[in-house]
Amino acid sequence: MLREDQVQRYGRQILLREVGGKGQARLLERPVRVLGRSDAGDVAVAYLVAAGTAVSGVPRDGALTGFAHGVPLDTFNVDAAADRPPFATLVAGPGEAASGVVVILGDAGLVFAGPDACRACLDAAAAGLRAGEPADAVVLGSLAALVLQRLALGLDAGEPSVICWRDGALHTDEAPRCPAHPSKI
Amino acid sequence: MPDARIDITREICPMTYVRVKLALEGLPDGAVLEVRLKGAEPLKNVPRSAKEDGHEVLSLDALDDGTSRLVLRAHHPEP
Repeated sequence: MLREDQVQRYGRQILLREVGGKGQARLLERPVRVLGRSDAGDVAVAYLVAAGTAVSGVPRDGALTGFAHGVPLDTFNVDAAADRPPFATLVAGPGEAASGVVVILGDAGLVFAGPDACRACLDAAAAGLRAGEPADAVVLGSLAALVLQRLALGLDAGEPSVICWRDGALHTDEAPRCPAHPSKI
Repeated sequence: MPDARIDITREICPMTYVRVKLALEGLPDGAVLEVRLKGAEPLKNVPRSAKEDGHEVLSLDALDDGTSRLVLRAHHPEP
């Protein structure tokens, strides 16, 4: 059940057919854990928090890149404080491992996978991000937030997917697979 | 006899349909919602948005006090 201030704050999202009141409640109930830091990761956190998704693993003092003119996260949105286990992990920096529902940000794009996806396939897909050209951090970060929101709403799931920046545009590519799944390479 | 009633005569866009959408979501499939509304914007947009969301417009009547009464049937497609 949404509070009145949440109905007012998220009204425009509630209007979206794929969200509605029940979807907005899901976004509020499914925090995201953030591992590592990057400009694109900070943008993703800003979009997530603005949409009502709580985050953990980031500074609460507003030190995100370009975020809300330095307004602390919890002041910007009281729903930003994570008070329950995360449903997904956003890997925003290099060298971080994660399991479950995962979105991995690279310089050239992002990969994401559902909780039952093969971790080796996910790593293989993430390695492919290095082949592309660096993407704009705002484009990449906002896309990562959108992917996480779609995962929270149950609109995307399953095997690893890759979105890469190439020739000035985003492309959805077939994800490389690990040796255990050669039929999908 | 409607299953629920909602008054959005004091709301402005986009909260007019937000209130209706939330009310419809809270009703079971096939239930009837009566909406009291006022002004050109909700008169045009609320029935249209409800139809776009898959609900059914049963009637829309102008009342003597300058408001209108919209009657909707909630439809929730199987997930």
